[in-house]
Amino acid sequence: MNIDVRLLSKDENIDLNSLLRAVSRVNERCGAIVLFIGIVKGLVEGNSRVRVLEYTSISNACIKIMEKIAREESEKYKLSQVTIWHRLGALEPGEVTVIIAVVAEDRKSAFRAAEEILERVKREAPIFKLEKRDDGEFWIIGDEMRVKREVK
Amino acid sequence: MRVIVRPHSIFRDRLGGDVILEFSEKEVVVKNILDKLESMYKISVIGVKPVIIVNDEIVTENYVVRGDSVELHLVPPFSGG
Repeated sequence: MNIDVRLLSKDENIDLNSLLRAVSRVNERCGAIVLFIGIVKGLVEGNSRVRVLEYTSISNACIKIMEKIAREESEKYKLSQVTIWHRLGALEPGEVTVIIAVVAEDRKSAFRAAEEILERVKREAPIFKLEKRDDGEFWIIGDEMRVKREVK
Repeated sequence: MRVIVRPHSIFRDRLGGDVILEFSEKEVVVKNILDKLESMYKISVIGVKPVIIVNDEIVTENYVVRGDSVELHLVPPFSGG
C-alpha cells in the first residue's frame, strides 16, 4: 500500500499529469483510478461572490489524521495507492483545494473509497475555512454553517 | 501547571490570540480549562461547540492534561475540502 499525504501551500504547483503517471504504475492488478479535484466556488448562498477562500490547519495533527484515514481506507478497499493533497492559504475561485486519488482493482471500490476518503477528510482533519466575499467575511463551521465575522 | 491555549478560526477571533492559563495543580481536566475560558471570554456566545486537540489527538472534556506545560488547540468543527 502506498500513501502520499501532503499539505500544500498556495504556491506549490500541482502537476496532475505527473500524479496520474505515478499512480498508474503502482500495481499491474489494478484497473481503476479515481481522481477527485475540489475547487473554490465563485458563488455561494445564492449570488454571494467569493473573492478568496482562506484555509488554515493544525499541520501536525492534520497530517497524522489524513495518514490514518488513508491507511484505514486502503485496508478496507484493498487500495494500492491513496493520495491526499490539501492546499492551505488564500485561494481564489477556480483554484484547486484538494486532490484525492485512489488506485484499486475495480471501479466500484475506487469510487466508494475516493468518496469516503473525501468525506472523512472534511469531517476529521483539522482544517478551517474563512470565506471572504463581497458581502463580508464568514467562518465556515463544519460542512455548511457560516458565521459572519465581526468587523473590528 | 501552564496550559497554552491556541485558538483557531472563529475561536481565535473571540480570544484574540493565544492564551496562557496557570493552574496550581499538576493535572487538569479539559472541562475545567473550558470553564475557565468561558468565565474569561464567554466562548459559548459563539454558539459553536468547541473541539479540543491535545498532542495531535482529539480529546473529550473528561481528558486529563498533565505536565508542567501543555498546548491545547481550541477549534470549531472542521471544514476542509
